[in-house]
Amino acid sequence: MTDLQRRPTNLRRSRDVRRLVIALALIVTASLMWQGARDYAVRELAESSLGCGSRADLIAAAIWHRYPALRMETPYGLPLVSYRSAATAGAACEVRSVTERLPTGTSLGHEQRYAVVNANLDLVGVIVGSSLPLLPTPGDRDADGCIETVTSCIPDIGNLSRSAGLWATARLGPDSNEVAALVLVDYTPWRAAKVWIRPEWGSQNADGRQELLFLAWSPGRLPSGRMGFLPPETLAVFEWNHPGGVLRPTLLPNDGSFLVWTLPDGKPYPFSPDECVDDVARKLLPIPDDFGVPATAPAASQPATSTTQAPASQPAPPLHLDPLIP
Amino acid sequence: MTAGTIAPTAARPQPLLRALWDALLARPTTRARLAVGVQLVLIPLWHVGLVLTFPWAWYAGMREAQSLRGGPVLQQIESSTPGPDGSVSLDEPGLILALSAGALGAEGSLAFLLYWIAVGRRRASSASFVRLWWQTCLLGTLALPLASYLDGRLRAADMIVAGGLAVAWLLAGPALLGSEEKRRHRPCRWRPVCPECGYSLRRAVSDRCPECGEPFPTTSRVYRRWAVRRLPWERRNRGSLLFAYINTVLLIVFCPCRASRGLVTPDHHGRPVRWAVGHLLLAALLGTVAGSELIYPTWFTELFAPVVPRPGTVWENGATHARFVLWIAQSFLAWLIVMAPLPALGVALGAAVPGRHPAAKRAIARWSLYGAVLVLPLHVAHCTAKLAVWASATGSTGLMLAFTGISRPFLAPSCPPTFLAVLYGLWWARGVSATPYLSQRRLPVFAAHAALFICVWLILAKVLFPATELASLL
Repeated sequence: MTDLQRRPTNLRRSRDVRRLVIALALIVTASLMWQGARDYAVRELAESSLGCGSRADLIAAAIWHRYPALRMETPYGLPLVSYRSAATAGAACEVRSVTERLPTGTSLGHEQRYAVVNANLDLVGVIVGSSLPLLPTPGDRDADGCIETVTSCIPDIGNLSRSAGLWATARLGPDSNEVAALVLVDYTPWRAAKVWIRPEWGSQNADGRQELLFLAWSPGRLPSGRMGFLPPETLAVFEWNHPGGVLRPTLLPNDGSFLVWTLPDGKPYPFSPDECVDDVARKLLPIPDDFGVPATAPAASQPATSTTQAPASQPAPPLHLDPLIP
Repeated sequence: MTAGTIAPTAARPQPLLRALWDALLARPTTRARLAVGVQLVLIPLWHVGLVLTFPWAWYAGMREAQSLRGGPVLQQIESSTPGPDGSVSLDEPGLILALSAGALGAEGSLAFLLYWIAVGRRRASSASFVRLWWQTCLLGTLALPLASYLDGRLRAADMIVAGGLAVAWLLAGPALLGSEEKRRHRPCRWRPVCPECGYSLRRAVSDRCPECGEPFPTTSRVYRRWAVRRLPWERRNRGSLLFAYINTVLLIVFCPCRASRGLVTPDHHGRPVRWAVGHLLLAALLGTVAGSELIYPTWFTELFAPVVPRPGTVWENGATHARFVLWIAQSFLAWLIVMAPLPALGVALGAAVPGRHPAAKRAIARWSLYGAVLVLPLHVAHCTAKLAVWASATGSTGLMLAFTGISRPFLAPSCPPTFLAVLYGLWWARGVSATPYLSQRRLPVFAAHAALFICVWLILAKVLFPATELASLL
């Protein structure tokens, strides 16, 4: 027991008030320091959180703080997905507002605008498409300093139930994007066996480039006895012809299930960042009528689509379809 | 004369304004009929203004969000309402009024039944019940910050948990307050006992307990209320540590008043600090485990169900284990930053009130530190309630629920910090009001301390140290 505690109440009260004022001053000072350091903390934590699925809010806040024009409010969650791998890291976020999601007349109205940022949260490009450009993750795959991304496009807006997939590899740039590869995949042979066909980037070669692989994931019983997916089988392989160039097939199945677009001169096809990559892909590689249709169904019953022809207002690009069916 | 209207000056009625003021504050008054009339008007107004508004606002927010998104979010809600061919619609004010009146009547009937059971037939009276019902509403206002996260983005499980808590309080509040009043009117049964063994010390003259031989903590008159049995964890001889720990936790969680009284002796300062640190670390670990998707690598999830290969996920992309550890550490630190201020704020508020006796400050500080254990059951209770809501909504029972609970224990996102802070504040205030130094005016002390804690926490968390973006780390 100290004598201090036996002092008259008024003395103790004045001492308490003095301490309270000091504590309040310290708290306000700490608050001001925090307000000043918060943006830096958010930025640093967001950069280190790329690839973490549950921190989309934090990454979006850091991106929006740096690029206020990209800000978009949605009623549910955030249309942002971040990624991180050994080779690359970054995020892709939707930047078109909800009210802008209107049919454009050339596509289905599902297309959205995505901004892609790199590991330092610098904006590297914008792409308009119908799916998040994350399958597989974007990154500099041909060692040319630009980000390449693979997006899934809608192959036929006239018949959404057609069992086919259109995959576009686009190179993002500050002013214009480029199409580096288009692959049309007929899922019919694998559909019955419930096999998943997914593109994936391979390992880096000596030049720092990565091949684009199409893998088939088959369900089955694992060695441990439980059901799962067996190790994937490589169906197709694409290689870069040179940095900043296009992807060329080096391995393809011989059953006609893959249709590939390439340019004869080996140069990518440029398109505007405001142009929907789905439209560009459909224009460059229109789906044949009988592609992706089960053999039992009569091909003539499929509705005709306008995407098999290039729009009249634009000159048809030079097409070179690789006939894979011998 | 009933328990609620006992007043020594019953022969002389209070002035009108004073009676109205007492009715507003739910105090006993001699003008019982006037008070009942006023309170019967105030109770529906409170309900309309503060309770019924939030579900409808949430419903409106959901509808707006649905119209923007175009998804079938409200399918279940819409299907429960009459179809377009019927004459009834949710937009009709008459129906809303009828439903609200019915709900209020049902609430009052059930609350009166519980009150009648708790207080007993002889002491129960309608005037006293109405006053306690209004007191319940007033105290329920303290929990309003819980509604700060009730908006269109809220998940249905959060809404149901918050609504369930509100309904439970409104139904059980009059009964709890009535039994509290009943206990207060009993003569004080406190007798000095040995803090260690509980042996009665009446007429004891030595400075040691004649039963266990332990010396008494102090002879100072300042701490003259030391002769109360300690919390089991505070005793010198704790016996079985596990038993003492479980006893202490149960006392703190379920009998905060008794636990707070057992912490009045000003010694063993290291124990509350170690207790608080240990439980905060444990709670932060639980928050990291339960609230984060970080700790579920693919191989673990595959134990319960085959996983479709997703090349976009973290593990397939080869994120290093160092990065994984960094994320876990960040999440853990974030939880610690959220949880540690709760007992710290309790200690600070207990010490900050000018003119309070040092003995009372120390008692409050010890209670605040021991109260850190509350964070753990509150977190678990909230997440379990959400899990139960989710399970009932999806029809998951038995084995599936167990597997879901194991593979992703509490279905991220986890307990919001506001929820933790408000409930901790209410619990803390309950214990503070039971401290022997402050227990003369228990209810006002409780209300003042709860309001002080919640307001200060909101100012700290929302104004002085806002960190909304960093909530993703939780």
